[in-house]
Amino acid sequence: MGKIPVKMKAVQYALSPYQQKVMPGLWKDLPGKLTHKVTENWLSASLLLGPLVGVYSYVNWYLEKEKLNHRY
Amino acid sequence: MSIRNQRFSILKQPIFSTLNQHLIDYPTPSNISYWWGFASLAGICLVTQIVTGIFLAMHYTPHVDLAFNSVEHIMRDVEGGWLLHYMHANGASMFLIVVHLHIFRGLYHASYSSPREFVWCLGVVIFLLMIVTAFIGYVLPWGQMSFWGATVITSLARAIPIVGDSIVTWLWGGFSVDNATLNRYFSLHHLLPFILVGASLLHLAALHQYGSNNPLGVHSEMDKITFYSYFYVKDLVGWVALAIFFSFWIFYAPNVLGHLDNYIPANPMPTTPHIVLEWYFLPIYAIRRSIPDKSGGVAAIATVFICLLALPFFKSMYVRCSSFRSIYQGQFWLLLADCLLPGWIGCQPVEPPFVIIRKIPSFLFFFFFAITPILGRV
Repeated sequence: MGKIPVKMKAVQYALSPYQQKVMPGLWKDLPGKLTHKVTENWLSASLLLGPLVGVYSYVNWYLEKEKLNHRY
Repeated sequence: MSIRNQRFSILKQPIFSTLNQHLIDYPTPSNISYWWGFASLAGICLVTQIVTGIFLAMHYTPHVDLAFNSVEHIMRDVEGGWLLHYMHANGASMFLIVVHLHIFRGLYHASYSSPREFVWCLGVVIFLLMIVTAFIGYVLPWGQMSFWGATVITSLARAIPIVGDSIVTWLWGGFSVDNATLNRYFSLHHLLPFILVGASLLHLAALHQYGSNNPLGVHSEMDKITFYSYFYVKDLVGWVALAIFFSFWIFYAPNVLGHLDNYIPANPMPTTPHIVLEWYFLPIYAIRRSIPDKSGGVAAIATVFICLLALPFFKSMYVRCSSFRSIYQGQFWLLLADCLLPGWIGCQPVEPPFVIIRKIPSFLFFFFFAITPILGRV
C-alpha cells in the first residue's frame, strides 16, 4: 500500500575486475594480515598441528627408546 | 531479443548458449574466496591429465614384456617424453591435492547441505572414480610397486562374501596379476577419464541449478555477479600458483611422490619388502589396516564413502558457516589432522608403535561423522 516494490536483480558492479588490483591487494599490509590470521586462528592451528606434532614426537621418542634398549 | 538478433548472436546458438550460461553469465556470489578456485583448478588438472595421457598412450605398449621398457622409451627416446611422463605422473598427485582441498573447503563451509545434496553426492562419486583411475594408472608402468600394489589392492575384493573370489578373477582376467590385467587396466584407464569428464559436467550443471555456496553460508541471491570476467581474474591467481607448484615437482622433485621400487621391472617372484602405495591411497589404506580382519577392513573402506555420501542427509544445522560455529570449526580441524595422520602412518612399516597408533585416527574418523548431527546444532 503506497510502497514501491523493490525489483529483485543482481547487483550491477561498475568497477571492472581489471581495476581491482588483485595481485597488489595480496601483498598489501602483509604483516598485519599475518598477525590477524595468527591471533584469530591460533586455536584452529593448535587443533590441527597438535595431534600431528604430538604423534610425530611420540613416535620419535618411542623409536629412540627402542634403539637404546637394543643397544644396552 | 528479436528472432533476427538471436539468429546473429553466437552466444544464443545451441551449445554456445549453454556454455555462455555456465561459464560466462553464471550468477556467482560476489563474496566467494580464493578457496572456491579449486574447482576450476581441478578442471584444469583433469584436462592436463587427459591431454598428456593421450600423448603417452601413443608410445606406451600394454604388454607385460614391453610395458616397463616402453615407459623407459618414452623417458629417453621420445622428444619431450620425460616431460609428458612426469607431468602425467605428478599431475595425478596435483589433481588429488586440488580435489582434497576442494572437498575440505566444502566440509568447512558445509557446502554439502541443502539444497546441494546431489552436487555433493556426485562429487563423492567423482572422488571415488578418481581414486580408481589413479590406482589403475599406477599399475601401467609395470614396475615392482605397480605389480605388488595391484596384487594387494585387488586382493581386497576377496574379502567380499560369496562373490569375492569371482570378482578378483574378473579384475585380474585370470588367476594372477598378468598380461590380461595390464590390458584391461590400460583400456579402463582410457575410459574412466572420459566418464570423469561426464560426471564433472553433471557436477557443474547440478551446482549451477542450485547456485554456489559462499563463505558466509547465507542466501546470496541479492549479491551476485557474472562469472566472467570477475572470477576468471580471481581464479587466474590460483592457476598461476598451481603452475608454479606443479613446475617445482616436475622439474626439481619428479620422483619424490612416487616410489623408487617402481624403477625395477615387475617380477612376480620376489615380493617387495615394504609395499607403499601412492600417498592418496594411504589414509584409506590405513583405515583398512587398522582393522585386523580383512573383511572388516574392506567394510570400513566402504563405510568411509557411505559416510561421505550420507553427510548431507544427517546434517541439520541452524547456521551453515563454520566461522560462526566454533565447536564445529574445532571438529573440522581435528578431522583434517585425523586425515593427515593416517596418510603418514600408512607409509610406515607394520611394527610398533605404528600398529597401535593407526587404530586411533580410524576410530576418530568414524566418531567425527557419528557426532556430526549433534554438532550441527551447536
